[in-house]
Amino acid sequence: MLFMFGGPSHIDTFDPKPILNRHHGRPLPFNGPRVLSFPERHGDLVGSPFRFQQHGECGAWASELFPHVSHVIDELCILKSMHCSNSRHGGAVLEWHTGSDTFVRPSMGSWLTYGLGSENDNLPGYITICQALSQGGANNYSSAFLPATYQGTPIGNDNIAAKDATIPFVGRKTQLAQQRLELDMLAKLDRKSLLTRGPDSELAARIASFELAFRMQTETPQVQDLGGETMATQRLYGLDENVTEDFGRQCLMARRFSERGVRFVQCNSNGWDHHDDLEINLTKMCRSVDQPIAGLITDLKQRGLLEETLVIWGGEFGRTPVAENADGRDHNPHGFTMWMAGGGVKPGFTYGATDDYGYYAVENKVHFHDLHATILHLLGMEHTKLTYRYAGRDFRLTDVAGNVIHDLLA
Amino acid sequence: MPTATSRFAAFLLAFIALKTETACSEDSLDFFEGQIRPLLAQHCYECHGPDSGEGEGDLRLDSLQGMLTGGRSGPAIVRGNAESSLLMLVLRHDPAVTAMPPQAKLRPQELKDLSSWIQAGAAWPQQDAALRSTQKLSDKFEISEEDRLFWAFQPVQRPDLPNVRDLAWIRSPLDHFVLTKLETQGLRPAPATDHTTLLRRATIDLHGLLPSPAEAGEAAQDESPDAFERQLDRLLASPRYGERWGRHWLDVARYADSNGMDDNMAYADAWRYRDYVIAAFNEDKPYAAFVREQIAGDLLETEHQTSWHNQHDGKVATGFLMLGPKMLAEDDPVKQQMDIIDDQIDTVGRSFLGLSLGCARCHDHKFDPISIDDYYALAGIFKSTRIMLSYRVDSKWNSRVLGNFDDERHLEELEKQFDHWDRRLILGDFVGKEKEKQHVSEQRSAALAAYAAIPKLMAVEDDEITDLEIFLRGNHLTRGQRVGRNVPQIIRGTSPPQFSQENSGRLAMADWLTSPEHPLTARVMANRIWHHHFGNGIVRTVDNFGRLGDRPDHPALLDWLAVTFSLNDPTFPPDSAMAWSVKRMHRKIMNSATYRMGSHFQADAFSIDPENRLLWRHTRRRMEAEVIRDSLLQVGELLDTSIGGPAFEDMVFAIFSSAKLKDERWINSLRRSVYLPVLRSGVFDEFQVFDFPDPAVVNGRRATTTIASQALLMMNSELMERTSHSMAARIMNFSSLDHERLDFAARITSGRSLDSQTQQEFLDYHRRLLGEVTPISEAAAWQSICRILLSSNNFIYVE
Repeated sequence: MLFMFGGPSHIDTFDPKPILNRHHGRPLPFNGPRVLSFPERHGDLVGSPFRFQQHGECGAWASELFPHVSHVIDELCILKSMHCSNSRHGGAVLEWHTGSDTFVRPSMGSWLTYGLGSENDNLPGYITICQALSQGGANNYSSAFLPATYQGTPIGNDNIAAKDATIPFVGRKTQLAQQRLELDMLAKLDRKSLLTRGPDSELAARIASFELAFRMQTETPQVQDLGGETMATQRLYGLDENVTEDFGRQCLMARRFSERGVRFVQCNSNGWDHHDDLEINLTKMCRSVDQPIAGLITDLKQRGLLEETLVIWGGEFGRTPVAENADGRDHNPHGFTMWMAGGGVKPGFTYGATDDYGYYAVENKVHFHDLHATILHLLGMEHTKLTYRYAGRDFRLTDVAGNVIHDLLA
Repeated sequence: MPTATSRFAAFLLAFIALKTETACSEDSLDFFEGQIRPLLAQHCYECHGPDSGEGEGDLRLDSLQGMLTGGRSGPAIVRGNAESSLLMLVLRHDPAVTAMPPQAKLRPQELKDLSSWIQAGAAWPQQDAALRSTQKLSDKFEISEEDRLFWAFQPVQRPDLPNVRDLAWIRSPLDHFVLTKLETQGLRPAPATDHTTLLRRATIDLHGLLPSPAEAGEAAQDESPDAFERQLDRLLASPRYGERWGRHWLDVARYADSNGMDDNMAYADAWRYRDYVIAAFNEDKPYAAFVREQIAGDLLETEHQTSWHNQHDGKVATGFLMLGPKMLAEDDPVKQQMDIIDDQIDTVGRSFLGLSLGCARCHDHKFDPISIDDYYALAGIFKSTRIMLSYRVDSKWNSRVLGNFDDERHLEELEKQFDHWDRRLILGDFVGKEKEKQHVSEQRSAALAAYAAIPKLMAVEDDEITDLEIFLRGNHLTRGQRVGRNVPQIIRGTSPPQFSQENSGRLAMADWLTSPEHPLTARVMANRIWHHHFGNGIVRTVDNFGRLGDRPDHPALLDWLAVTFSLNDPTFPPDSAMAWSVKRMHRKIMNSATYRMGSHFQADAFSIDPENRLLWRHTRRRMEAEVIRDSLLQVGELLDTSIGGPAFEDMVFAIFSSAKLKDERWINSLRRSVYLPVLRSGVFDEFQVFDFPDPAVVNGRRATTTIASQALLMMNSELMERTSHSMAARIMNFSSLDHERLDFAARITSGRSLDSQTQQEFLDYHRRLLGEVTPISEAAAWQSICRILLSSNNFIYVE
């Protein structure tokens, strides 16, 4: 998951609106949403300042902000009719991550690892890199009432550069040789007391957990160490340029974790909330992720991993076609774009549409619940059957909603 | 609870009202045939038309009756009121409802036509006459005989003590209930544990800390028959007790020092509630009073003020209702308020009653006899209670001063001022008006500083008194009938509480909850106390006594405990001072033979009862997160035992940033864990990995997982580094002899000495470290040994 926290503008990136451009400066010709945070800040229609072009064999549209992604557009399955239920970051971010904008619920990554199990005992099943601690924070990757094993393991947070981010408590304070001796002595002591107290599966599991921790402590930094990748690969992800280095590093780590059997990896780009100065800010943000994203898709493809890896791109909502303040756009949960690639989705395919101005999804609408259902389906799970009983009720990621969008399946 | 008859009456009224507005002009019928019918046929009839059977969602839109009756989500239209009609919301794709048609939205002109048609009275040829009183009522909610007979709703009765064969084993009446079940299965209770283990168990149970070497030494030597009872007296008299048991209640109260959710604002005054809870346990405040205060303390105040230890206890206690997580940035004010009310209902339901009342927000409870009417009857009580100053985005919660009436008025004035400047700053257009912006910003800061300087607390008060309508499918845009404030019908009891227009009804609810006849209040709390002594409740789902919860393993024992707790029994000496005493329950339980059993494995018992539901031994328990941290600090002689106070300074109405959440000063503090801030969406890793519960919801039973990150914490954390370092200095100071140092280290961590073979292995290990790992100091080698002992199962498990 490539999460663009803040809500990237769809009408400036993947959803061109010529009529909006033509009607630039006029009032919105229909009613806006029933509830708005700051209606007094809303102005007239604002066309996109960015040039759009069709790309690839599929002829999908993308703006000049994503030149590298445009090169791999034939791999993308673009959903232009996304919508969700909450117009504020906290609610929408939680709804995307957990399916609920109201209650604390297990995150999608937790559900996935709960459903799929772990492929690598030495690594966590679910990792999130540099995720924001605001707007729901840890609740966005928490296992809530699912067992703690399915909790997302954070590597750093939005305050820490990707190159400095680590798993909690992974940094050794003693020499390796001493720690090895210590753990051997500990195991000896615990095994002895197990003989007198046991059998007890919990005591036995705790003895084993120290060995697992030791291996995890060795393996995780190895995965995070990108020095072994060729210069060509590093350049592919933009590691050689300041502006793309951080997200590039996240994307390359994501590939390496994923190769080693981590089930769900989230890369986080923070800073897409463009209420002001959209032209400058959006350009900057797109530039920081464009090459890394294209690099990831290209790299997965050439390694033959793309067909078994599902890549998802998007934020918690899109943005309004009307101006906010002088030069920004407000949150828009009513219609926006996300895309997927690989993992069994139709490549070079565009699905759904917003209205002529990009305000509301009008054709083949896809709610977060629907996308969640589809993602679970792509990973081999039936969303109505992936349940967990808690406090007397069977819970699901999709609660009581969600439809698999079969048109997206390859 | 409206009966079927009253619902029918409500329907008749609606029907009569309808009859008066049926005049349809030719024009309107033409409009229907020309615009509306084709539109419905084109967009709706595939799923809600003549060929759709009952229609999707039980909704048919091919007759006026179908529209008025509606489907599972309630009536589709309200004649003459397009804005209140569900159909219009659905067609406009309002995010609060299911969007229809699902794939495409109607054209603006079509929406306009439909809206005008509904507004004009929804004329439909020949249909008004066809409307019959056979109109479908919503599925009728009825409490069945089976519901009434469900165990948890039966009155608590003092059970007779069952006969047992091995009377010699019995130390307390409660032992009868345990032993009789074991004897029936042909099992024996595990042998009693030794003094040292028992004292360690009791000290962790009551203090969340380890016994000191002196206390352990004394206990080991005291052979007098009441030795353990005197230890209990000592433990229960210590302020460490309230810190431990207060924390258990804080789990139930979903206590936190920050809001979490979207805007993670600091609950700068929440700590006063935390300190109130700790003091309540230390003072042994009767549980009934504790419950009453948390629900309605503000309304009790005049009546109780003189007897309270702290004159503001009543107000502080209502922090219980305030502390939930809130979507502060929710744009829709009604949804924001209803979500807050939902948190209150859910919390009150699970914490005091062991019922998941929140399930009835959208529909009658699927498993328990709780109707949607019951939910909105309770919701009316909380709707009449002020939590927030308003429900606009980022409004502020209600506060009360620790002072008199004048102070209260002053606070209110400052709240208004602050809000005024805050709004101006957020909403103002300051382009090119930097000076004005600075002025507004300064005014805001000044108002905030004045506000922050007043000592105050998070507390509720009564608001405008109102009843609520049922929100069909939990959606505030589709309303059903109004229901009077009340408590759930199934447990209303013989003398149901009375609700008036004078106040919210919280006091009536509190009185009802703590009436000695209440079937759940005493059972639920007695079960919680038992749970924390044995690792499992008699009902293992401690927060759910409903149909999907567990059944009690020892129903008679649970009732015996509940009666003993509430003293609702004429055969007990009428000593009201003893009623609802939690400390008295500890003594009753801990002085039993059941509590004193060892945790030894027995193959025959294990094969019959691997889960230990029959209580053939004491269940081995892993320390909780706070006990681990506090005990580590304790063995390092680092623990700061000062009591109470703010969780942090200077955070009034401040939002926790990522950096602030990870501020290491807090976790590196040496105070007891209960006094560290509990930050929603930012629980410290040190607690998180050891199953600290999500502080957003009621959780009376923590999980116990074993995961690798716990081991990483033991291996590499700053906490372990610090405490093992300090412990090494302590043992080196204790003696200059290696074997004495080692023995002391083993005793302060696990309460017992190592066997001689293990001791030798450790001494060899010590020598090997000094030889093989270079350079390593004597102190570092001892620190390594301390780290091993503190990481071991001997330390972290309570036998």
